[in-house]
Amino acid sequence: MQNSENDVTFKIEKFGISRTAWRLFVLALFALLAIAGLFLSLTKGSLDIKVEQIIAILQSPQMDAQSQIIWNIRLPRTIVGAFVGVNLAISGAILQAVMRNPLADPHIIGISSGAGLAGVTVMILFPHMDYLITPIAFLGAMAAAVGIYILAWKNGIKPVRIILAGVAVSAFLGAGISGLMIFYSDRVHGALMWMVGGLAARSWPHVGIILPYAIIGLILALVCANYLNILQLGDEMARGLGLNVEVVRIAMTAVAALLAASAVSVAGLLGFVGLIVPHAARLLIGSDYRFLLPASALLGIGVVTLSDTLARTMFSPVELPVGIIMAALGAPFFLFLLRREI
Amino acid sequence: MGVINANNIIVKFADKTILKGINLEIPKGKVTAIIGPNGCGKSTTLKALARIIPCASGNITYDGKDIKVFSHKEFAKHLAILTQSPQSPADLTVKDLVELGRFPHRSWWKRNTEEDEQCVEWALKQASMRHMRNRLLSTLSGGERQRAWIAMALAQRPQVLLLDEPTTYLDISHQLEVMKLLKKLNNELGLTVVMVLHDINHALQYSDHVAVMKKGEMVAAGEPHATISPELLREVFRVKVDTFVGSNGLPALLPVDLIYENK
Repeated sequence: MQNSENDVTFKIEKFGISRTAWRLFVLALFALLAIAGLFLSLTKGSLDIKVEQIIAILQSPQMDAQSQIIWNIRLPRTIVGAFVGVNLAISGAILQAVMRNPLADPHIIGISSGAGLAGVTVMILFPHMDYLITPIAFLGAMAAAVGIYILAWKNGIKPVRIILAGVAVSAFLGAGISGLMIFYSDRVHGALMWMVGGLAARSWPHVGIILPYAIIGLILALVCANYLNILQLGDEMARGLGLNVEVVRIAMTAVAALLAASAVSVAGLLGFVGLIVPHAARLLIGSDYRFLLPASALLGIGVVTLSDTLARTMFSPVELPVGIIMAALGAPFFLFLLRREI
Repeated sequence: MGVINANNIIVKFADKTILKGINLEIPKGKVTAIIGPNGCGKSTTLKALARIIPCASGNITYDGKDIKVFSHKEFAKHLAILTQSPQSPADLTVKDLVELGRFPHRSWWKRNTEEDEQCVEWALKQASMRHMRNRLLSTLSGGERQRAWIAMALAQRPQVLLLDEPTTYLDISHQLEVMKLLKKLNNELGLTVVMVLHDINHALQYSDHVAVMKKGEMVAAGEPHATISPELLREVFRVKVDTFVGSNGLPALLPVDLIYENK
């Protein structure tokens, strides 16, 4: 982490741009990327629709096919994708500060394994009740997060204990997922798609599920950006500066859990967004959370919507789950970070 | 009656008792040094005074009031602590760091006020760090970095500054620079300084009051030259020391041998 971040800052000094100007520039860049992602996601598909037409359709919906496609299929899917990106990116950024670990992401606190086991259970054992997948997955995610918290509690919370408890609980729940998939190998297809994560057939009800968490979570995170900055100085210095470390850590972990749980319950277990997006944003904009959080949110929108567009169109008419695209791009990027930083 | 009084405090980690009933008085407006062998509980004592570690029993008062009655932020306006080798994000500048010191004075919805700005400037000036305000913390030398952290603590506007081994990892000239800075802050601002030290000579030369600990207990406390004697060091550190008088007129001690106890 040290060297690469220094490099960036030194480069800025050479350019002679003030740091604030650079940060605003990066934010603007990410905002453009997010807007490009949103519009590409709306224009591209089995039927390409021009941007001007989309704007006209958004302003006054018609009864024609294009209007139907935009309003009923692409717009809700794009919005869900954008919020999934925001939620996972913010969740990861928060957890990296709260756990003071660069590898912390929503998986660490059991969100993925909890949602995974709950979702797969519904899909395999109660396939006729698939409308329950989202709420049950949400409950599973929160139950796993709370369970890990309780298991890691011993006179307060230590980040390293949460991370190790998270690894163990995830392995335990993973055994359940694998067991189910092996016993019911004839029903695995839907579960597999969900384990990879995707936005296929996501519509307005899913927007309704994720929207409140995205808005509340984003506001809480931005309000608490200063707390996250203080937490980066370590527990003892943070306490010395008058931060109630235990309360902030519990509250912010809860916010991160809700954000990630709402995202994975609608989109399945998208890997890497919560890890790579905050890191990529941090490399460019630095670790001041007042800038890092909005930057992560914007980059999250761009990454998810662009990946989803790619997933839909690359092998059209076959649609890949967006999780595959993101992991395929995310893993090399992560290895690149690893080589640079450690 | 000192500005801080610890009354018979006991601190435990799991089942291990680290502090076995410590009484300590920190005189107001003075420099106090806490010395003792590794693992004697000096750092734990400092952290207990700063409310970072809770006491199992006994109480600590600040200005006559139990430290538990202060809110987190309120307490941080009175007392600042620098722990040993604190961490920071690699892209933090000196000014960023000093601004974080204003945290206890800020409500979460408020931005930087004029007063915050002035305090940050003042703190940078006190620590002679104004010319380095835009430098990255990670590019500073050990002594400069320590001064940056001291500036952050000053931005809290504390009455009392606690430091855990502020000179560790510094070369001898930077050690003196930090000690002289602390002495200056004490003289000019009336800041009460409490520091855990390893160097007995620093304790002798730069402190007005010394507390000596061994195995979780307070062994001696008082005026440094009267308290730190060859006999005390023999008992506490099991070293034989020779005494000199430096060219600055102050006595200095040189450890010359270990004393092995016969069993």
